[in-house]
Amino acid sequence: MLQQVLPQLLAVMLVMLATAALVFVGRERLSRTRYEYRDRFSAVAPYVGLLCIVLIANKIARDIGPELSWLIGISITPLLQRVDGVILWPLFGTETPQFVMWIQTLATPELTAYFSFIYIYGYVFLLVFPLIAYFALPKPEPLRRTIVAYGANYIIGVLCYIVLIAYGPRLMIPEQVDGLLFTHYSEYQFLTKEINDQTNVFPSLHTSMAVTAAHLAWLSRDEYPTWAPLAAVIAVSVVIATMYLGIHWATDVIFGIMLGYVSVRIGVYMEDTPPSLEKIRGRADSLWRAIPGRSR
Amino acid sequence: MASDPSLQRRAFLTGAAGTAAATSGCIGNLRNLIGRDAAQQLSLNIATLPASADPYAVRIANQLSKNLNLAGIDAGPPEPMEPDVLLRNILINQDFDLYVLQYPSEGYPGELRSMLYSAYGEEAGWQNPFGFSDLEMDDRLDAQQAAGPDTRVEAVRETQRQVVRVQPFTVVAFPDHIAGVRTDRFTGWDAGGLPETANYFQLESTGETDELSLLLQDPRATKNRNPIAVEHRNRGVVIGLFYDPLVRRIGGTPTPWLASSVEWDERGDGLAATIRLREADWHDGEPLTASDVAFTYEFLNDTSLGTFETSVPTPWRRGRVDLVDDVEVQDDRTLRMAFTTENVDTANRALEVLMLPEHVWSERTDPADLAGVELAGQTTEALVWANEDPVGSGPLRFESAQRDENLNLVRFEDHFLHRGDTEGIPDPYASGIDFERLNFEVMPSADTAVEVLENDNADASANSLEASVVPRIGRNDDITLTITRGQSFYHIGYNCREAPMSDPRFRRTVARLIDREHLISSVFDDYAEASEVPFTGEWTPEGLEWDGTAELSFLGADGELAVDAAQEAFMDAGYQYEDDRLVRRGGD
Repeated sequence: MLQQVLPQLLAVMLVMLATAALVFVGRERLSRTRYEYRDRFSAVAPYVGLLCIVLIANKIARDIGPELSWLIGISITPLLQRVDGVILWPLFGTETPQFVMWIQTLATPELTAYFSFIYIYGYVFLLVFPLIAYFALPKPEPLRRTIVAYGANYIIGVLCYIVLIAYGPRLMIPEQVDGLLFTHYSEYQFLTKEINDQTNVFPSLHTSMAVTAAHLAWLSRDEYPTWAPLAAVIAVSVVIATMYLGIHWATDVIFGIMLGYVSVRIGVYMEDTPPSLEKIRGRADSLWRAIPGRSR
Repeated sequence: MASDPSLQRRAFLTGAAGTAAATSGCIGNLRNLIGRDAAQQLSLNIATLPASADPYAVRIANQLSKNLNLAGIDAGPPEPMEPDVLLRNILINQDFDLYVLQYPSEGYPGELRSMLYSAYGEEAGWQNPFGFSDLEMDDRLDAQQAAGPDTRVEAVRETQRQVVRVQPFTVVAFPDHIAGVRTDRFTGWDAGGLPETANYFQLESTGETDELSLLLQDPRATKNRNPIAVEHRNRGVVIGLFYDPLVRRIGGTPTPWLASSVEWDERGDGLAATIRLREADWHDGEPLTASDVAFTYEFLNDTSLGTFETSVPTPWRRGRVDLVDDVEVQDDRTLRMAFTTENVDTANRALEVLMLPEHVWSERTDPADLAGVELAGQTTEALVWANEDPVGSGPLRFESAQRDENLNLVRFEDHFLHRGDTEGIPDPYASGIDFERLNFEVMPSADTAVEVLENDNADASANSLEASVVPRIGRNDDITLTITRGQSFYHIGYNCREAPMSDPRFRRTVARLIDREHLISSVFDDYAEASEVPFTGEWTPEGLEWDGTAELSFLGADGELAVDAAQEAFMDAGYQYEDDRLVRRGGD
């Protein structure tokens, strides 16, 4: 089944990316990139290396993560569900519904189709397009901070997934919350199953990555003035989609937004000074020296 | 917990009232008051499975949690766990308050003995997981096991009456076994698809392919194939393909399987049988002999084979092993077995145990350890071993598996059925396995399983599907919907080792918070039957047949709890309220 879903995703993605590249980046920048790609690549090379390490570590952590999680993790599903059930208290008082259920009261077939599309295609597009767009810029900082911010999202997210065990609303209150994406477009479950474990919902990485991409788009609004609002629209849609589709609790999303913001700050902090082995060694040395009684 | 409210209150009272008391001189009154602990709201935890592992359990748990809260008990949202984690917590660590699960029943009332016998309370596994102890119940269980053919039905009914009375667990409903099957490549599907191991032997290929593709929703068999690892098994239908029993129950009739014949005779106050074995081999080529059979019973009674101070019996289907009094090997293919019951039907259940090879399992009797460190007391290697490449004698042999992805089996050509030794075995089972390979693929949900069936990429769903996909199967002309009544009932389990679950009055009142009729329609979409007793049909005591209302009737109507009535019921049971909260002294 994955073999049927994946090519479709790739084809749609290629069309979306090519169109966006022409509209937002423009022919002129694209053709300049063709001549300068070597310089630009060397300007971000250390960052790409860092990202590779993060992704490999991430892959390992995700393979063993769920099993490890059950050994050392803390189960927080009931807590998330309780918080989700009181968020709307100011509006409803004693009859407060679950936040996610309240969002689903707005469901229509059109909205479900829209948010399902956003959750899969919109999300991937929102993450991949900035890499192309920022690569097409002469200065390296936007691409650097993007890579670092993405990596930070993943590292912090995966650590949370190992330490915290949480199931999403569609698995906990199925009588109230419909797992709309998976009941209406069940084929996508083969895709999401490959990527994520069902106990990994806190925080929402969909949210944090989308917020990161939108925030980065805002930082580079001088170069791409029209991309920033579009990125914001997609990001907001992704954030709503995670709850509308019954995949995340409101709390996952709130922490996802915070994680997205923090990741961008980390990205901006590291955009001028690429991570280097010397620096890491230097820091390790100073740490080593800080341990008292070493020279005995 | 942040701080103990009773301590806070004590501190406050001492501070605020201290001066006044000192001047008035009635320090004695004050000490009387402050020396008492404040009562605390009762708080309970409900453990269950996420909807991905069990579509119904969490919904029943949600209903229960909601009604407990309405009745003034602080029951948070149910706590979800993966099946193996949950079962380990309940059955092995005995760490739970309440849980909602299916009991992996085979519809055999003798199971009540392993579920409820007091002496099993300290053992790990499905034997008395509730820690229930009741002398009257023990007497009835003893009477039930000893009962001859004439008195047995009445004995079981007596036990069940006592079960409903004292509620060691609360039966909710029997869900239907729902399957979608395609008939273009294989025919001979039984009602419900493949609810029993024997159903696999019924299938007939139409000649188009010699590969059977099935969809599995429970991924545990892709990781662990140990037939006695209780946290990885439900009814053991898939694992039963690797292993053979002496006698296999087919359509309710005991059929000689590994045994070619079983001759019963009386012996003192029990039964005995002479058993002849068929010529059979293990998957690794070793011959299966009478000493393997004798070993299996000895081993399942004590997986440490006497090396531990206390025996460590199998945590799964232990009640059946307990029926065997003695096994004597007469020659390579003849055994003499003595039983603790006079009832042939009951004794036959002991012969349905899966046979294990001595040369594999006798090496697994040491204490389980991790790099030399013994972590869990009273655990043998045999119980924690994943047994990834199972050596059985069943008609299918393990080939390969990928964790959480797939499990592949191939036909075992040397199986007695495939050699033509089919005496006593009725058609269509006698023809053995009618395919070369069997591939199970793990599906993330029932919807995806139907999707794969729609795309013609599989022949059937192996586990029961949830009721919500029934219309989707019905809309597709190529997929046949087949349904049978299941035997595994949903129940609420109580940890009777701890107050207040140790109090039968409390359990009886909790049982009245469940509206079965409402659950049947709202949770099961009517694909289930409500029941108060765990074994139905002829075993149902008079007056306890399901007629729409329970003996311990729901305190409300149409799923809505009458809060006053519920509080009153708890008060009648001796519990106290403060501001609509059920409070207990001492507590945690």
